[in-house]
Amino acid sequence: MQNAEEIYSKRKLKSSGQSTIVSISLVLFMLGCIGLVILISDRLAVFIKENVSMDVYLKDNVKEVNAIELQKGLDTKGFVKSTNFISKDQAIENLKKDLDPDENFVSFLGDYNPLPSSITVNLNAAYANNDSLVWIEKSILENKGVKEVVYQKSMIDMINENVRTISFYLLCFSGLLLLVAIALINNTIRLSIYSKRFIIKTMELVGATHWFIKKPFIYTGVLHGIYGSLIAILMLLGIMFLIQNEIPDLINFRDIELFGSLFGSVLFIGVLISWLSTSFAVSKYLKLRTGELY
Amino acid sequence: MSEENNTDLGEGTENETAPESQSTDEAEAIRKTLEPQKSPIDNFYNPEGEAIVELKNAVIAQNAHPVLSDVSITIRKGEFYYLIGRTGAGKSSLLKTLYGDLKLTKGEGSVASFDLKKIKTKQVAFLRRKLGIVFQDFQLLNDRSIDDNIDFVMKATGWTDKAKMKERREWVLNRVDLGTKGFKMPHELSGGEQQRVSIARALINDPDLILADEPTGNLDPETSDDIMKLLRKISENDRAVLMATHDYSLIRKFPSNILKCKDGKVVESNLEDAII
Repeated sequence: MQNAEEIYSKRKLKSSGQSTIVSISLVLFMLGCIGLVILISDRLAVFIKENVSMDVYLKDNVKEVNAIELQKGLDTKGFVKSTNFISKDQAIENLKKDLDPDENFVSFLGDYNPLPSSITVNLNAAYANNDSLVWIEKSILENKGVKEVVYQKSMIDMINENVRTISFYLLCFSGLLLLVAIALINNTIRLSIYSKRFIIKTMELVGATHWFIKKPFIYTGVLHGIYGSLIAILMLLGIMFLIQNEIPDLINFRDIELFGSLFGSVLFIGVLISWLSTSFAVSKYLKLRTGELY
Repeated sequence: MSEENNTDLGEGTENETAPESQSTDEAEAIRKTLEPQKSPIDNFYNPEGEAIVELKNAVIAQNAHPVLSDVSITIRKGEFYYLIGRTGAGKSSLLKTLYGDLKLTKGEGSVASFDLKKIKTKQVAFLRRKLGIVFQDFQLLNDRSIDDNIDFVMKATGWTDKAKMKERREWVLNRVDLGTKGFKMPHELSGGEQQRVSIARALINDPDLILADEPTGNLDPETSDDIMKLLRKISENDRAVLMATHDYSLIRKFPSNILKCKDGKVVESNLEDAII
């Protein structure tokens, strides 16, 4: 039967491993959160960019059949995400709705409809930049039925500028956080190895090779990295469920590839840092002479 | 005690007679403490034995600072050597050099056919497999049982056959009278028992040389005697033993060859010189 001292000693060893795992998981969770923010902000940027529309106004003499043909033509273009044809009648109806309190104005026009038919083009996010827009505008204007192409140049500029700025700061912050994560995990592991430096030296003195000594430490370190990563991933899933409850559009759990890459990265970083830190820490104590351990 | 010794003692203690106020018993006790047994250095050599340790004009250094210089010693199988000297005289540094923890940079030296000057870091582990090292503070792996301590050394030194490992473990533990305590953790054993485990651990690979750094330093006199008997028995089985110690009463009880570290040199000595 185990006595109290033995149980205490085993519990102490166990809890030292547990605190390493908790430290690793908290740091990885923090890193994962930043990853999640980057993914969500990327998604947000795409969402905003894809909602930027280009209005293609058609000449009055263009028949509806030709307009629809033009719309179909645009649908086949790679830069187009979606199109919406608005006929002259639809346009006046929309105007009526928009100017509801001032119906007199529309009735003043009588049967005359000054509004042109148009096609609203939503672009793919990758083309929502000024260079592409100028080129797209030019290519659409080549069609003889098109009168003019209207889009808010300043808004596109603003969106791109803001997305660029936010992405830059997020990347800087995540880079910094990655360094913090490496430093914290490395420190936690080094401390745990430090407490075993005399055991390492004893192993060396009884004739064990460096690799033989390192192997079980690396195995345990990697295992701690895996456990820490899995706990971090579970915590991230919890956060994601919370976000989805609040803002459903931001997180789509069907996007397995996207979130899989986030979880995969957390696991990879956790295992890699644990492995390297353990290996370096053990090597350090193997290189020291007995007298240098104190 | 021989008559010759008594004569020696009479001469040696002439100037150290007890004050008149002291009782005869007390004077006798002091006389016995100071009384050196004869330990002629010629009696414990084994000239036929294979040389296990050979140092020639070696300089023993710690962090490039020489501690001992011009060290020339030879220890053969079957010989038991004490290594004595004041604290800081270089005993541990000499032992560390012999087991590859300190590099030999000047002079020549070999241990168990390993050239101490040319040995590479990767080879040090293989040198240590030829040695058994026993420390004052035992240096057991405190996170595992005695059986696991023994098993670790076997696994680390290439044992794979579990049946043979069990057999060997039982053999070494029985040899140090700990056959029934293998399941215990090191902290559950007394100091003497822990030291016996460390000796058992040193014996696993049937080493040519046992290096013992004050193995009785933390033990009571009775337990120290047991450890000494064990080490002596090992040396009688054609193994060499080099034991650093401060305990002259043990040397008196178990006389053998003596190396003394003094004034940066290592010289062969006898008990009389050692005590002086």
